[in-house]
Amino acid sequence: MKTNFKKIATDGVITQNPTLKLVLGTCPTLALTTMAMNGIYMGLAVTFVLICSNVLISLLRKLIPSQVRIPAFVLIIATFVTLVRLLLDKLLPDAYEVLGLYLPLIVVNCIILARAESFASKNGVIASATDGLFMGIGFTLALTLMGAFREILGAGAVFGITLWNFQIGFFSSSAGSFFTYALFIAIFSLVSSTISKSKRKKLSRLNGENLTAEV
Amino acid sequence: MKDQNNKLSSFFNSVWFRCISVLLVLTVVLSSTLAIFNDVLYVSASERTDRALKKIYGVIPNYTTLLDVDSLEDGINKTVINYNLDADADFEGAINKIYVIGDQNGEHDELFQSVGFEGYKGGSITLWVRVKYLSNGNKKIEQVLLQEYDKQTLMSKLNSAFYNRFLVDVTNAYNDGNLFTTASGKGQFSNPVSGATYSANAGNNAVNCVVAYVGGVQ
Amino acid sequence: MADRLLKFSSSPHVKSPKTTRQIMIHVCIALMPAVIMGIVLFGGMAALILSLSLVSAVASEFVYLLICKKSFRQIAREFDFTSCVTGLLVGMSIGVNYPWYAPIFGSVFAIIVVKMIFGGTGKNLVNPAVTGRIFIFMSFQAMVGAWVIPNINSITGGQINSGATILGGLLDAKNPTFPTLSNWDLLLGTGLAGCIGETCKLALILGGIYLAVLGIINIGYPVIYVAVTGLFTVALNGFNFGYFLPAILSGGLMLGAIFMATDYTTTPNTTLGNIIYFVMLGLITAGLRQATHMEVVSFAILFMNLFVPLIDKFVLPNPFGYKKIKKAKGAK
Repeated sequence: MKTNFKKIATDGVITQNPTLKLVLGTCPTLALTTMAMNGIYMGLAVTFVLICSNVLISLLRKLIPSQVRIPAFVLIIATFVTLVRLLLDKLLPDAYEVLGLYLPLIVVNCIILARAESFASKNGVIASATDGLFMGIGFTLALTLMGAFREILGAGAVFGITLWNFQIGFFSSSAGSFFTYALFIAIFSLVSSTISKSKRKKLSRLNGENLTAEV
Repeated sequence: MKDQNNKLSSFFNSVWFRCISVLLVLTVVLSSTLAIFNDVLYVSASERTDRALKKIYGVIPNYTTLLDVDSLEDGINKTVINYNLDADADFEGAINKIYVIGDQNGEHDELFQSVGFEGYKGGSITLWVRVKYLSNGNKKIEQVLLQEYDKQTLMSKLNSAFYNRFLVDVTNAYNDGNLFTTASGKGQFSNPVSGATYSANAGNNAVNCVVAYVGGVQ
Repeated sequence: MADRLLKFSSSPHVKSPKTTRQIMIHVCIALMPAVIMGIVLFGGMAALILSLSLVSAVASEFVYLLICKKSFRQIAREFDFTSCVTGLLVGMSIGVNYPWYAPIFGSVFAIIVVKMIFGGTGKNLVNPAVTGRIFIFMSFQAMVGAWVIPNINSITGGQINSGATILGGLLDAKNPTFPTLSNWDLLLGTGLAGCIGETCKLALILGGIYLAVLGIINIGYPVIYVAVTGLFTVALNGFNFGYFLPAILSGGLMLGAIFMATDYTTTPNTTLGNIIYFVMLGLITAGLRQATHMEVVSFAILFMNLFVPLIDKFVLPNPFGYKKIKKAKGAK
């Protein structure tokens, strides 16, 4: 069975975006989107864990009996999260400080467990790795965009560079995080439904033309 | 013979045996990998000190060590200075490290790593406190950085207002009886944090150790 | 499209001359005394803030309906003055030293996010004015600092409080300071620092009486709210009755009780439900004020608004025509 890499890529980033469409892993999303840079750090950590755990689970998928698959998955994910913590503490101490408590929380991040359960345990290694990569990219993009939005409005800066002196404190607060998340999900649904509607219109027009041409 | 073989193979192929063996093998393999990586990627105490110095000064300056509890070299004072400022049974804090940057006879900086106890759930907060010794004999706290904390859950409440109020002249603070407290009110030594009083208490204790040291209690 | 001449609806069929538009115009008139006193006490900046919040509230409703592809004439024909009331309330509940763009943001947020997205008039989950006020408070409080003293000084020669309000001083745990302004000053708002519409309690009470006489609000409910707040504050402070009058005359309690907590959409449907709602409001306001030393009326109203569906679920109205069957005396 040939794996459709293009479909995996678009699934991960657009059509099945884990934050904006599947609404998974909301806890780090709500807490870490105060600044855009936090989004990038978190996305980096989650992508790394996603790729590694997907690869390992896909390699072991024939050996793990299905009755113990959840404990086995959690073991593997926890190992990679600990590895990421050690790596970040050594190599990127700024990221480690910023992520703080949310780094060990990646173990129970629903995105990783969901992809392990639904994709990695049923597909080959390369496909799982690609899926992990693009899901991570989708997550990073969503978090960075939301973080930039909240940082620009709530702190007058973006990526740490101050833009202006005007701040709306609402967007830096937790209430603002829920509001921003809802706003982005709404915009994302609007955009994707408009695109799919126009695609369907184009498709039906083409089909209609074909029919009339045959007559 | 064949019967025994069958029994054996059915035992090894049974569900519960496979489950348990897979989990056991996974645990052993993964934890040994993690142990190896932990050794490889270990961040030592001296590296943390270097990182703190880089954060404060931008580059790692030349410094002399007056006290360093984690030091592995001989000839360096390793005894921690405990402080019991309130005359009840518990120690409120201790100074773990003292580094002198600059000439000790002129204007110089002294960098303290102090830990304050009596935090939330009996935990502690460890701070780096940089004291500037001015040429006229005054001593002012220039900078306070967080190193780590233990069992505190509301560290986000210790915001910049909390840390900035430590940046005062403390030459005579200990002798005058002015110590940083958790009582609210006006004034530099009072508490601007609401809702995280235990953690604020631990933070205050850490800085008060430095204030006591600067005031002569060594 | 012309209005339909044939209207379909289900029973009960009740005809009433009262329309939403009329009721809301009466509410606007009831707010006028407080608005005028606010402008008198705080000057031209207050007039600017009030007019900005009013205009932006109405404009945001128009813009939203235009985006929903209604024609301008249709919107103007169907316009009920609910957004006017919301805009005025948002403007009245902020202090006069807020920047000029603060009421604009607050009104837009209140109308679009709290009211229009959920479906328009009558479908909002929480009170829009309260949420607008909370939005402004969370966003711009940091750059504003202390409350501003009004232009007219105290008439009984009391001392003017600046910085912390009467409420802040009263609830300070370490040394509670009884207000240095007399209760008359608190009632009239002279010499009292606070929000534009909240300081002159007499004007608010006049407006409340006007609405009660017209039958628009039930005067018992705000009275219950205010009384329970005062009594609970007294109880929490060692049953010292000196706390009663300052507690009910300070902060945004009058404005919240008369105009914001009695909004039609966000109160329960039954009498018992309403009593429960307002008593709980009083308890929560007094309790939170004691615990956080901040003005909590808007937060308490928001919190209880979310409880209203729960109250409505359990406190059921009597069906139309229901009579309790009396048990016969001496029944076996």
